[in-house]
Amino acid sequence: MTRTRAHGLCRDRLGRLLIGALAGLALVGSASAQTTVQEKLDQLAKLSGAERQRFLEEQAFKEGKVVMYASDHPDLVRVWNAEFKKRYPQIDCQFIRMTTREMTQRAVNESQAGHPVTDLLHPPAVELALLQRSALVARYLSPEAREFDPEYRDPQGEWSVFWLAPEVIGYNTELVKRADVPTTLEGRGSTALKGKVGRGPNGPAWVAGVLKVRGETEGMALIQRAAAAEPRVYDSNTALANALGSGQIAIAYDLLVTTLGPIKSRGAPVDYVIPEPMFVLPVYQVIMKDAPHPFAAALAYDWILSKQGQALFKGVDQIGPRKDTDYPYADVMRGAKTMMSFSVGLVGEPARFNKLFEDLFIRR
Amino acid sequence: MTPPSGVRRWHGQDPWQTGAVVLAAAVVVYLVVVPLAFLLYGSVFTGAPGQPGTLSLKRYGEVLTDLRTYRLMWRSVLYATGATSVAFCFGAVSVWLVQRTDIPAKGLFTFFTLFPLFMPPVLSSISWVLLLDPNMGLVNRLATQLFGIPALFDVNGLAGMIWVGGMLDVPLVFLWLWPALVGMDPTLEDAAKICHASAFRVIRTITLPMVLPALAAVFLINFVLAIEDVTVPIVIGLPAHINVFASEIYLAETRVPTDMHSASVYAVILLAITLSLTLAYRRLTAHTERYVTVRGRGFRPSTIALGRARRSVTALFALALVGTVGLPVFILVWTSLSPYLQVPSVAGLRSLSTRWYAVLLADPMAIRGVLNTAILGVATALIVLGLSVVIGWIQVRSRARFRQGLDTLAFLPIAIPGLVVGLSLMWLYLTLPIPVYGTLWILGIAFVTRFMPYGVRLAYAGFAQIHAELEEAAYVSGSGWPKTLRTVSLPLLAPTLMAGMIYTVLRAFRELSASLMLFSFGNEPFSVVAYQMWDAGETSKTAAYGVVAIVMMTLIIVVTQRLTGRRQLGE
Repeated sequence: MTRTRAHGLCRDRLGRLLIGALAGLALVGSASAQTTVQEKLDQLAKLSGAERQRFLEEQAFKEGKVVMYASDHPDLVRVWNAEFKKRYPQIDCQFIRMTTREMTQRAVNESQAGHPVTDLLHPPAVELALLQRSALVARYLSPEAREFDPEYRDPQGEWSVFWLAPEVIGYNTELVKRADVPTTLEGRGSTALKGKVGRGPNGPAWVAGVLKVRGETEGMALIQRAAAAEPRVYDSNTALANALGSGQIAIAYDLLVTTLGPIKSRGAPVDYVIPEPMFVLPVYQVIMKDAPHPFAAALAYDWILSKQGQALFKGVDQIGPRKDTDYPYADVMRGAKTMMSFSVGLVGEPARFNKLFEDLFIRR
Repeated sequence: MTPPSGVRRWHGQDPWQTGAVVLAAAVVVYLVVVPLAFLLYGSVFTGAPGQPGTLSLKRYGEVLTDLRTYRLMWRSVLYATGATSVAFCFGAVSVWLVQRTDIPAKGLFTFFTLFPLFMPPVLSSISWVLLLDPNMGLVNRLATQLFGIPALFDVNGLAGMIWVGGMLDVPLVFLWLWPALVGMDPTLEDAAKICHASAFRVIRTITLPMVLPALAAVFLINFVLAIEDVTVPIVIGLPAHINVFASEIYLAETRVPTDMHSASVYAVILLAITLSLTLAYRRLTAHTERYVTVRGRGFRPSTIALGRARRSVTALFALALVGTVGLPVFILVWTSLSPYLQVPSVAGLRSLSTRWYAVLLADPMAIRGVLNTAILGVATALIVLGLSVVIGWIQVRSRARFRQGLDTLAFLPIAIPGLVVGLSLMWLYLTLPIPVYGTLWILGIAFVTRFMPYGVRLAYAGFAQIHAELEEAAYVSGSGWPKTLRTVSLPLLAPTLMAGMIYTVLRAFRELSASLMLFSFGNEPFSVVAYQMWDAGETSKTAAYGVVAIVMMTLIIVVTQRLTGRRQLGE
């Protein structure tokens, strides 16, 4: 190949690259000229009642598809898939169940790579804070959330709580008496049950909660005493509930009642007491800022928060935020003296709590 | 490494040979470079992928100057060495008994030895907890009730972790040593016996040295598997406050937000340990001609007559299998019939039912999971074995300059965490205009990347045992490279390939970390479905799913063996 020919080829390639880049810019330009997800959602804010619903359904049917990544109970996701399809057969709904970690990583990576897949996401507080910091959340005020308690809806519309679960203290009824189960933070320091107590994976949030409720000095002393009692740390609520039900441990701290309840109802020798204070784990619903199907996302968002969507919770032993709906474990929600939610404000910056928990409870 | 004299070496003259070598090399580079670059970049980039951050070696400094790192490293090495040794003791003796002695019911013994490989690792570990926990373990309870003694075993410690980790790996040792023993010409052993050498001396001076590459390969792979294993450290180690390197990576990965930076630094250190072991292995097996056991002369594998000890050895073997395989399998089946996780008891019998199996049948995702993985497993196994044969051939037979680099590259994914493989492939195919994201293809690519190191090591050990004179004879008779490979090398490698096939299919059912990042609606593999059942507290349903998978995997293996029509495991 001669030098002149090589230069010619290089010029050709450069030319093609230039044309490609210009075409790319043109595409970006046309994309920015299109209506954004936020603008589409804002259109809904201008409408109300039946007119709004008709417009929303029309637009959602045109989109024809909705994707949601959720870490909710598989039974709940299964029933949502079935019932939403039944209600809106015009929409191909893909409610995909994954773990919290994978759900967040996938949604963030797909968005940042410019290839968004999911429309809706169900993150807990720490993950929600991460999404908000990355500016990946759209604002949407659902009419269904209008009557929610203030702590369950964002006035700016970035999120609504659609699911929650209180953390209780579980015990094995064959190994320990109810009266001997410590219900206070002070009681957790007792070494009488050393080797027979375990705790769940939500430790960093618990540390944040204790420091908030009792203040830095007293809270830290209580946390250190609890760690000195050497609870066995399990990496999931399931593992903790299994250890309790099978008798490996006698007491399980900070176990979600929605995990313990089903095995209790199936005959396991377990029960629970309400701790003081009681922490509640909320999970939020958000629409992604680059949702490929924003109207279908809004329709699914409303449906999940609606009375019809929330009525499905009871059949699968889950709890939601609506005041006009019956949920299981109402006794627990009513029985707590002090109740605190693992909200974005409390656990949104988790680095310090992660380190404290891991150093005290795991890397002793 | 010098190939045996007279071996046809790769000069790029045969277009088929050149094509296959170039294609295999290109595929390996393509599969490995991206996750490796992702891992190395992640270890020096302070932010999460796609998030703001800076390039810094600070975390390396922090980790390497922290005494805790060395404690973790020491504990990891202890755990991995212990678990590998336990697996070796049981696995090597089992395969020797089945392959080289006249023990009866070999097929049955083989099947039961391989059984733990079919069980989901989380459930295997939990089964051992239910058996050996000092508070409620079945074995301890029985010992107390029958003999009035306190708890005999405590699974909640390093010794317990080593035992369980070892038990999980026994089938791997069995599977990987099987081709080495089945392809062994007994002439030298017979000669030693004629010279009145004792059985022990024959094993020490003839058998063991001849299968050294296979032994070293199996030890190396098991060690690496144990050191990166996260199941036992999480199920048993974490509650017992015994941390190892793998649990530290797990904690960094599961922390919110994911601390990919720390996880990558730990993973690179793990990679360095693995690489140093690979180099040691290569030195140990530098002269492949020493380990040739299959030559041009025909031979019939001979078996050692156990004589009067036959019955007692058989009984002992059966008893060991009942204890190490039968009990955990019994726990799995018991759990699949129980309403919740409970220790087997007479009172518990009343609560058993087949409810969870009925629930499974009504779950379309559960059925999809098995089918998707069966397709993925078989396809992955074929690709991995094809690649492994070519890479093994290059490494053992050729003098290509890049052979060691290619071998190292093909082995590297063994130490790249599955999450990193998953994330890197996700980024690659979200960016490239190749439409594989959201399909089964991307899972297939991840599986090939993750399982290739095992196939390559097996193929290497297999080629090292076959003398090149057989291939030379084919070349002299005018056969080209493809025909020689097809008619000479592959039939001789059949036991190795069979072991590789079975292993890859079984691993496909167990691979989780990359699958969790890459599955999509309708493409869920078995491991993801099972993990989600477990994550949601459906332990008994997960056990039932495990039992269903065991049946499926058994069917796949039996059908594969029947289709290939070759020597079968245990025969």
